[in-house]
Amino acid sequence: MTNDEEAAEELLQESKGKHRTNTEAAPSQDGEEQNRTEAIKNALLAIEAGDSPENINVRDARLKALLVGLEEAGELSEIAGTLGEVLDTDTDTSDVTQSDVARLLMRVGLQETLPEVYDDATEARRQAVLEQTDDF
Amino acid sequence: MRNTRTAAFYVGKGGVGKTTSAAHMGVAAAREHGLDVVLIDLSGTQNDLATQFGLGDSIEDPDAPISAVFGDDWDFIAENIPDIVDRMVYETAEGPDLIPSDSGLSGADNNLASAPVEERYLKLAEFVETHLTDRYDLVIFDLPGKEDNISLNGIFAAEHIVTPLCPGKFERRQLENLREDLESIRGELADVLETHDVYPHLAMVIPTMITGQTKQSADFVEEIEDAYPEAAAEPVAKSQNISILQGQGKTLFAASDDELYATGKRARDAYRTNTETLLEAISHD
Repeated sequence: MTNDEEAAEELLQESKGKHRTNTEAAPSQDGEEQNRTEAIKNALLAIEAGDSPENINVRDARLKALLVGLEEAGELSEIAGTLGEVLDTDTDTSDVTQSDVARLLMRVGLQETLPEVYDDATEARRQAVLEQTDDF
Repeated sequence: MRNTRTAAFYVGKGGVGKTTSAAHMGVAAAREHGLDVVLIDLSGTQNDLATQFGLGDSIEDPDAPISAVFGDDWDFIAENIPDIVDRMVYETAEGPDLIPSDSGLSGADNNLASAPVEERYLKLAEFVETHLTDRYDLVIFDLPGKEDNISLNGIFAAEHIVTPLCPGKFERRQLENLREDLESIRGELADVLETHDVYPHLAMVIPTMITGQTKQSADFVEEIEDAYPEAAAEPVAKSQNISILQGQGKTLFAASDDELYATGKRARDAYRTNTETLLEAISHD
C-alpha cells in the first residue's frame, strides 16, 4: 500500500466518526450574508466592550459644506425629522447636530438602496443584544 | 454507459412507508424488469433498508461509508481506493444491491453547510455520474424525512421524487405544500439548477397503508388523486404481511402466494404496477 492509499483509507474510515457534535458548525444559508451579519455583530460587541472606536471619520469637502450650510440655514432639525420618518423612528429634533444628520442620511441611504445590508445590520444588533443578555 | 434512471423516495415526515416503498419498488424493478438496481440508504443511522433485507447485523459498521462521498476528501479517497464502490455495495437476496447508511451522515450534513452553494447539493449527483452509471440501470435513494443537505443532494441527484403518503399522518395543508416545497427549492437554487440542467420534480405520490373498508382511506385516496392527478399512483393496501415479512428481512416479493393474505397480494400488485409506471415516467426515452 502506498502512502496515498494509506491516507485515503484513513480518511475513508474517519468519515464514519463524523457526527453533528464533532464537525464544524457552519452557516445554513447564504454564506456571504451570514458572514456579514456575524462580522457586524462582532464589531458591535467590540465597540460596546470599549475595544473599538465608535466614531466614523469621513473626509468629503462638499458633503461637509452641505452640512455646514444646512446648519447655518437652520434646517438641520427639519431634515432630521424627515429622515426619522423615513426610518420610522422617533427622532429628537431639538439640538440636532451635523453628525446626527450625517448619521441619519447614511441609514436612509442604506435602507433605500441596500435593504438586505440594513436588515443584516438589524439582525446583527439583535444577536449582539441576545448574546450580551446570555452573558448574565 | 447505461441510460441510468434515478428516483428519490422523499417526504418530510416519518412512518408513511417511505423505506418499505423504496425497497419493494427496487425489488420489482430488479425481478420483473431485469434491471440492475442499487438502493442507497441516506435516511439515517437506523439502517431500515438493510433490516428490510435481513442485512442489519452484517452492515452495522460499513466497511466503506457512503458519508465519505459528501466530504472534502472524497476525490482523493476515490482516486486512491479503486475498489471503493465494490466495498460500499452489499448484495441483497432479492435482486437489488444496497449501499447502507452510516453513522457519519449527520456530520456530513453539517459539513456540507460550509461548502459553496454551487457545490453543496451536487456531491451525490457527481458520485452517481462517475461511479454508478456504468454499473446500474436504476439508482433509488431513500432520503431522510427532513429537508437537510443530504436530502437535497438526493433530490438533485434523482430529480424524480417519489412521495409515499398514508392516511392520518398528513394534514391537508402539508399535502398541498409538497409541490410548493419543490417549487421553492427550484426557485431558491435556480442558478445552480440551470447551470447543471437539473429539474427536481414530483414524479409519483403513492397512497400507502390503505384499508379497503374505511371512509378515511377512501377520502384520502380521492384527495391525493384530486391534488396530483398526473402523479397519483395505485394505492397500496395496508397488510400485516408487510410488517411480518419485514421482521424476517423480506419483501412481499420474496413470499409465495400461499403465504400472503389478500391484502398482501393487493399491496404487492400495487407496487408492481407502480414500479412499471415509475420506470416509464423516469425513462430517458
